[in-house]
Amino acid sequence: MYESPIRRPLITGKTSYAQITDDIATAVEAKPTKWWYIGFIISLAGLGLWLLTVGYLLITGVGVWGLNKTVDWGWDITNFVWWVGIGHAGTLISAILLLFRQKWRTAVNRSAEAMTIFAVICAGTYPLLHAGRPWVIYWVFPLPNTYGSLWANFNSPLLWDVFAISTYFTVSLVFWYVGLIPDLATIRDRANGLRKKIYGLLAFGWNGSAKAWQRFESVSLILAGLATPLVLSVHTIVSMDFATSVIPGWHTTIFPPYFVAGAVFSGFAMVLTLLIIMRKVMRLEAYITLNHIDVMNKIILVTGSIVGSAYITEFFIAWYSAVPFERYAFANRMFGPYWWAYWAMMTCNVITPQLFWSRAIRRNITAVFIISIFVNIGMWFERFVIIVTSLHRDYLPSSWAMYSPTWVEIGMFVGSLGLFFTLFFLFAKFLPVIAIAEVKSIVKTSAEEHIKATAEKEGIDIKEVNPQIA
Amino acid sequence: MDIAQKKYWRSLDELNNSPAFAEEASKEFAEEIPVDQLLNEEGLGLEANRRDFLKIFGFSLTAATLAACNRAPVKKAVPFVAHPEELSPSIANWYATTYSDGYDYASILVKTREGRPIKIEGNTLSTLSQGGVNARVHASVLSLYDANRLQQPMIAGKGVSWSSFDEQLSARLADLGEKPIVLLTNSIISPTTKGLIADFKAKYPSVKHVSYDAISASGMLEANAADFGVGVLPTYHFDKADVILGIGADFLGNWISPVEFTRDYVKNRKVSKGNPKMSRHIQFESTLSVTGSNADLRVTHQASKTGLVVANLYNAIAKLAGAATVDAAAHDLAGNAIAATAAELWAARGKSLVVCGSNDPAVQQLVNAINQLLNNYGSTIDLANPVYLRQGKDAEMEALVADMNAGKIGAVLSYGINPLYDYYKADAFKAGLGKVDVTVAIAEQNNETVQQAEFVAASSNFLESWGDAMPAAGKYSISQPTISNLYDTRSLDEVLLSLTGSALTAYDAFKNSWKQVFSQSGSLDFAAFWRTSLHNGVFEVPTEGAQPAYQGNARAAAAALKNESSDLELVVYEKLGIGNGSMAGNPWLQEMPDPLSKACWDNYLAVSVKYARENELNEGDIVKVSANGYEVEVPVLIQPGTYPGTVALALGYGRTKVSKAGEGIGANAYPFMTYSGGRSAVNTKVSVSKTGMKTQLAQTQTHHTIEGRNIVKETTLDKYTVNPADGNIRPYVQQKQADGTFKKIYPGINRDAITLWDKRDYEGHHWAMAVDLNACTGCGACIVSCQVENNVPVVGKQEVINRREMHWMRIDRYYTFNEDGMKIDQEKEYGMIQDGDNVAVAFQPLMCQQCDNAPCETVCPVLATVHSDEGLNQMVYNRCVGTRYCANNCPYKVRRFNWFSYTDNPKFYTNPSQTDLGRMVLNPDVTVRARGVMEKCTFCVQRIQAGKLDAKRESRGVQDGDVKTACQQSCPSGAIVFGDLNDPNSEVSKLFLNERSYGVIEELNVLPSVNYLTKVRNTKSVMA
Repeated sequence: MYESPIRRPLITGKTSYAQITDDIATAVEAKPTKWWYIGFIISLAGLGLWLLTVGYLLITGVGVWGLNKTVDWGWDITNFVWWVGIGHAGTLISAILLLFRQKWRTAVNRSAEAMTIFAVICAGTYPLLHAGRPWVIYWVFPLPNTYGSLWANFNSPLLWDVFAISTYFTVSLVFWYVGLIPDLATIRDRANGLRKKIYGLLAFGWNGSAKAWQRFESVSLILAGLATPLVLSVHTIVSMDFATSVIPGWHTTIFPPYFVAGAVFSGFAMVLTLLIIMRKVMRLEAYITLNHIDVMNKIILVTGSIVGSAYITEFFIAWYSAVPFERYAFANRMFGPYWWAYWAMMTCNVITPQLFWSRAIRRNITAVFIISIFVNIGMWFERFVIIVTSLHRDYLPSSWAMYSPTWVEIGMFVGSLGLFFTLFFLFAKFLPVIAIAEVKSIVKTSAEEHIKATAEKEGIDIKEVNPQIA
Repeated sequence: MDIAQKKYWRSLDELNNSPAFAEEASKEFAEEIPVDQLLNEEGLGLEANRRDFLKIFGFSLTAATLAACNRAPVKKAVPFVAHPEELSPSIANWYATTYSDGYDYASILVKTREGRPIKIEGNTLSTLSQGGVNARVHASVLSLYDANRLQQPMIAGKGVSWSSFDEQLSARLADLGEKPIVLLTNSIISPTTKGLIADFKAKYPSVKHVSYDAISASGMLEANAADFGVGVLPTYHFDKADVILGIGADFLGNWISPVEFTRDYVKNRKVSKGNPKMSRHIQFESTLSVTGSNADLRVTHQASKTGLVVANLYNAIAKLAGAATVDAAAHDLAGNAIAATAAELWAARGKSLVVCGSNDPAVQQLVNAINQLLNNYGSTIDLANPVYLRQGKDAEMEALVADMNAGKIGAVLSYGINPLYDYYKADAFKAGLGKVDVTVAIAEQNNETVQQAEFVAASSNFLESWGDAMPAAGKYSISQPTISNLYDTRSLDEVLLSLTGSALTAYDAFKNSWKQVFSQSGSLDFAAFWRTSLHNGVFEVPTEGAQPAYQGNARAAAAALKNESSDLELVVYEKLGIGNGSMAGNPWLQEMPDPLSKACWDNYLAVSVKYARENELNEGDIVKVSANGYEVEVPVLIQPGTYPGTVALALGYGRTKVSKAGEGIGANAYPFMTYSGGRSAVNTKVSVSKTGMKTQLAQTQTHHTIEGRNIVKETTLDKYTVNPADGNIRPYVQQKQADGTFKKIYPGINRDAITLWDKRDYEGHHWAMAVDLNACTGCGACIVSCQVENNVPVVGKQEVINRREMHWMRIDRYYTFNEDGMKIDQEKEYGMIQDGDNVAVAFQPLMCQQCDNAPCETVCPVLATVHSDEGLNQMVYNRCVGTRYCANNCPYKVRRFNWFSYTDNPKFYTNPSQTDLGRMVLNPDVTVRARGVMEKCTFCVQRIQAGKLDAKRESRGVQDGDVKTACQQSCPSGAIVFGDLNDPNSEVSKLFLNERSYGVIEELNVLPSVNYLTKVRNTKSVMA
């Protein structure tokens, strides 16, 4: 396929199909590195903390958190929304970018999708555990029962949430797994003994025939089609938990687009945080190039700007509405007792991504890493600001209260990071972190060598049109 | 039960009981059982073969299996073989009785279920308490089930039987000879008990009866004795007064008979379009009281200058009356309040009332003189019908303590009091008690005084005893048991009967004494009179006594005024919940937030805004307060409305021997009291110093201003008279009409006008509530009543700090500061407050508003909160999974979540439902909620159900007033009205159409089923 020489390469260095397979599959086949062990043990410790705090919570009751009669949601739902938001990049990359035929996604889609799935798992623990009686939480499903007309409440956004999240999780998981099949087969083919058997089972008997590829492509496309609306729907529905309520600061029609943009924003930031580490540790610089990072930074810049505009719009509308409660709620965000959370959010989410207007910063790994962390923090604070500062001072001043987390909430959050990273480390060890088959599909178009060759053939001075390569 | 004493014999042998028969009878089986044969080798079959083994094995396995199939031991509820009359399971029985502990008095109805008293409500037949009950009386039902109760008589700490107790005590009393025996009791208002005391005196001529009130009205008793020759308290008629001046008298809170006073006071405060009149209430005080917070004009003054204020007021009125003035330094309050008040009082003479809380006889004599000048005796003050609720004379107690220390007293029998805790010189009392030969405590609960007594007579709870009361002349009230004695206890009457060696029971003695009451009834049939009295609980006869003539000397009284004052003065005061501290072990009262500070589970030094600022004190700073050689460390609370140089500390805390719930709470303030002709609450020689430590106060409300929001709507009487809807602008929507004009639609009035939802049809009832903000005094009786009725858990101090109290209803209290004509009602303006003593207070009771468009209902994912077709927002505990989304989406924040298992998590040991004994007080009609579910006010749905069932049984519809919610029933001011909105003639329907009626934040169009009536202040402007 023809690719213009002015395109930036998506794979650098010497590339052959065998080389790609080797580069990526070796990580699965070789013994884990020292760094992997260190990281995995720390993650396991986090998971242990999670189990401990969750156990204590289940035995004692939700009262071990710092919530109260005025602020009934705090870190629990903040973390839920944060994790769901993080889980947005994967599907966006693999589904929407697939439909838009963005080739650069091939290097990052596998790990982004894995991250999505793990993030949604972490997110899912919160609605379960925040409930006063988690053992009967299954009542949120419209299950047939013997109580006559006893059914779930289809008016409740929380119920929509249940459907949205579970659908999203299922589709993401299937999409991810389907994409894994050819790569699992590759590893199977390189392996012996038990490993061969296990990967063989996981590869569902993939034989690499043309028919198999054709079906694979069709399924991928169908799943991408299914997943695309989900990218928009999940956070839209999460936002409705707030938007359909009567609480000033929650009751806002701008929430659905603003939440979706915020989710993509935070998802990409988390993908960057992980990839920057991964490409270094697993020596994948040839596949996850500065160009990839650059492109993702542009998405962060766009979504970050959308989020920033949404913040400002909210304020304008609160003032314009002339509703005293609304006005107070927003003034209270800025200057009330939780002003620090608000300004942390504004700094991290509105100011820092604007740095990405600069190409130099977009391509500076250290800067990008730091900014991605900032965005993650900022987006956490955004949810905290929306949930806690709106609730803690609503209509009747007599009920106004303060909220601060206890060690159990903090432990559960740190623990959920442990859960996430445990899963991610297992993924990095046992599954190919880059979609081998998909990367191979762009070698003949977007690899550095190929671009050079094209230029040579056409007699174009590559240095002139594409100085980056030189 | 004499049946068991009759003996029958089965045979002559048994009658004779020969040795042979005894031998036979001891055996279970007449025949010898061949045990030896069975247990020998053959019998046991030790040579069993394989088949036998299998047989036995199979048999044992089957037997074991069958045995295991048996259910675990079944506890059977044994039905009544003979059904007791009038006792049906699940049907409540009500008994009329009386609460009187020498501090609070109330004629009450007690609800019993399956023989257990579970709820106390006011008896509307009493003209004194008039169906009102305060928080303490509500909570007193729990004292019956208190683990701290004495369970049997004790001598020197060892449990004994009553017979040996009587024997030993009689012997010891007899040994005393001429040495006086002092019966030291609270104010006894029972005619029967008084008769028995007389009998006791007859038997032991050396007996002297001394009354002791922890909080006495000694000054008034002495003043009245001096001025009128009668050492009693008068009956006050707050309802007949057009101008009321309270000088440090918390008559809506704790002063003498607050429930009666509240009822009367409110009668003249409820305005209507037809009768736009209300009394004018002026309050001079140094700390903010509930009474002061309801006043139309409130002016603060230095606590020690009460006498001077009264003297100046006397002079101001005397000038108007043309009478002689007294010698007193000229003194006036902010805004020349004394002169202005004098003019108002004078203008309303004969229909005015001045009351004062001072315990100094000289001050009270001046107050008497003022009321005499104002011609109030015989109209608003009635000395012809004296009140007996406070009989303790402080001088007598002083003398007794001196005599005890001098070793002159032979025996002290205390009843119903706890001087070792609440006497200001408890140490002197204790030392004196050590020199008394025989010390007897007749007490219901183990307390500080019981600890020091040699003889402890465990006394019965009032719910277990027969008795009577005469709180005021001609007002009789009976006490009857509602449960048999839980323990081996005796009532005071029974103790006195046995000490006098009488064979009568308390019931007989009571009935005998009522034969005298009967003679006043004009009735001829005692049996009928007796039955009616037991049924009604009260018997009242008009008394006709002459108003005693005034013979006081104001000049002499003024000359006797003390004028000692200092820049820093400590005032000790009673709280509405804990009161004098006798019920400090009651967790309901401990958790009841103070109406003003909203703090619970602690006492604290209330300081003014100015004092805090000048001394760099913040809320929660622990300070050392010392005076009288006594010191305590307490946290600081900044209390608006406090005179800048005054600090206040509540009485009733710091109990050392009390029920577990009251252990280690607060510090004892009684030792700070001083003596000046009576025990005084003011201490001028106090010092306060910082300790550098800090703690957190448990407050249910921490934001104190209304932030300029239109939540509590107010107007003034002037404006109300012109426009009854003044101050009540209700939200509306402009709707375009066919002719192009616009019409205002008020969704709060025309409830179906604007909605996205399908119209709800309330075909049967539509329950609703109206709350008159002008009547609510903020006393908090409703909070406790609701807690008792609905099994609301007690969560303890830490959880209140965590803002997780479970009360289904609360009373919001908002301050508006008036500083130099500025109105400060927003947090951001706090910095402008200088003194903070000129404060206007607004109370707003808030319970679930039962919205027709309830925001909580739409968000619950599992339909655990749903709307009933009677307009109730119902909470289905069983279905709740505990997402708490409903609580978040509640604009009124009235939903409460069970964060823990309050019934069995040992951290919440103060919750009554953690013990078998405490669980007896639970209302069986209301589910005890499990951990992890939401709960909230139900409009007392169990009472609605009961009202409907009663109506159905009587084949009629539910009538207005049939169903009364617990808060409504308990409200001493009648501020809460509940009823059916579908009935256009119901009181609540009419109130919903009242010009003053509005829904809180009704602009949200959630259509609350609770409406409020605007507060009307009798002032020239909305600000005080």
